[in-house]
Amino acid sequence: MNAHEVIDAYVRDVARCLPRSRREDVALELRSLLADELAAKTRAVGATADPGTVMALLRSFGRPAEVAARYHQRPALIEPAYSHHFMIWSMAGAITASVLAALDPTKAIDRGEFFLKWLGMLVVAFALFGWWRRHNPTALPWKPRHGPERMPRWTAGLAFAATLALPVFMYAAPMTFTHTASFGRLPVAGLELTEAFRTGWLRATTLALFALLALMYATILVQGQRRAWIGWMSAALHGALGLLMVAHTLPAAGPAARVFASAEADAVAAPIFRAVGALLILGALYDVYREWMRITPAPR
Amino acid sequence: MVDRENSGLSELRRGVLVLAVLSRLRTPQYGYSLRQALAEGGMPIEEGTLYPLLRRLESQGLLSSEWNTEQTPRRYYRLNAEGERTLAALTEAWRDQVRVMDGLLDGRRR
Repeated sequence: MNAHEVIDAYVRDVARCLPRSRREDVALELRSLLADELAAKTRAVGATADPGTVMALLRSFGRPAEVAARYHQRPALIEPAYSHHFMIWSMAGAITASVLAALDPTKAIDRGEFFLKWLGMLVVAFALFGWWRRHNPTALPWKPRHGPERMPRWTAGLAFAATLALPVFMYAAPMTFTHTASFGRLPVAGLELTEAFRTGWLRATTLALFALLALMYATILVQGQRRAWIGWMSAALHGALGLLMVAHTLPAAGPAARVFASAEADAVAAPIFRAVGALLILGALYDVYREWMRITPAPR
Repeated sequence: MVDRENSGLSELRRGVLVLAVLSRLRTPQYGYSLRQALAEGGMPIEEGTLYPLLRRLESQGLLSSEWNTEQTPRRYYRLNAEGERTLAALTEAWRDQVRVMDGLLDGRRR
């Protein structure tokens, strides 16, 4: 390649990165400018133009894609300002995929495939959001939000009541709970617990942790805020309860893990225990994230 | 330390690049001649920065351009009416900034 062929190759590579309507025009001008620069350089050193001199000139000009970006800035698929959010959502997807795949006894969930689909959806969602933001720059202005310490008393009260009514009552006495909740319309005989489960460590531990969870909400109700230690306690309780829920479906946990006397009821309950376990574990990880990200701008 | 100074100087120069370019385009110039004119005036600019900037200023409606094919084909740029107005406004703003900065820097010395 002689010097002019090298310039032509460079100009082509720059122009390829530009919108079709501007390629010819920019290519023509860029070629003329580079020829001027080259002529000045060779005049200065009293030499003829050779490929080495041209390459040195082009290196100082920059890589073709970067030069093209100076002529025409294309919007980023994921706006740099939102790349942090993209990373966080990507990691959340990776963790969710790992938890779901680990808890899926049928191994139908492929962690890699789940994650790649998630990444694809995120890229599309962020690209669409960026496009929308560029066309509506004043839409969705920032609004102040409370930090993680904020939990209104009414929410804490509701959480306390709901924890007592649902997990505690339902778990402690499933037959009574179902009879009460269905106003006696649903048959409850199949919900009889096995003796091993009723008196076993798994049920006692789970009930104790549910009670602690209710106590935690009662503490928030009294204090009127969700302090950092409560956030960590919430993460620990949800994580432990999630693991215990999963243990309800594991034969390795022994006879205490056989919940219902009826095998059919056990078969129906197992995926529910696993799903609830997965949700609790993901909730615990979210609690950890919230506490890890907790920022207190005002002096304590 | 030298890197930091160089980086600070680059930031300063980047801020006044448009004003410097507009100031040299009262008469028609093509890319290389403009670069030479700026360098001779004490404002050397990398070619990879200057040439795209000319296109941007043209697309912003501040410059007009035309090809001169009498000798070596070259694109010549010059200020149009909007460019003249912008240059006047930026020049005034620049002089205000110089006054403000002089005040700040003198105040620091005191």
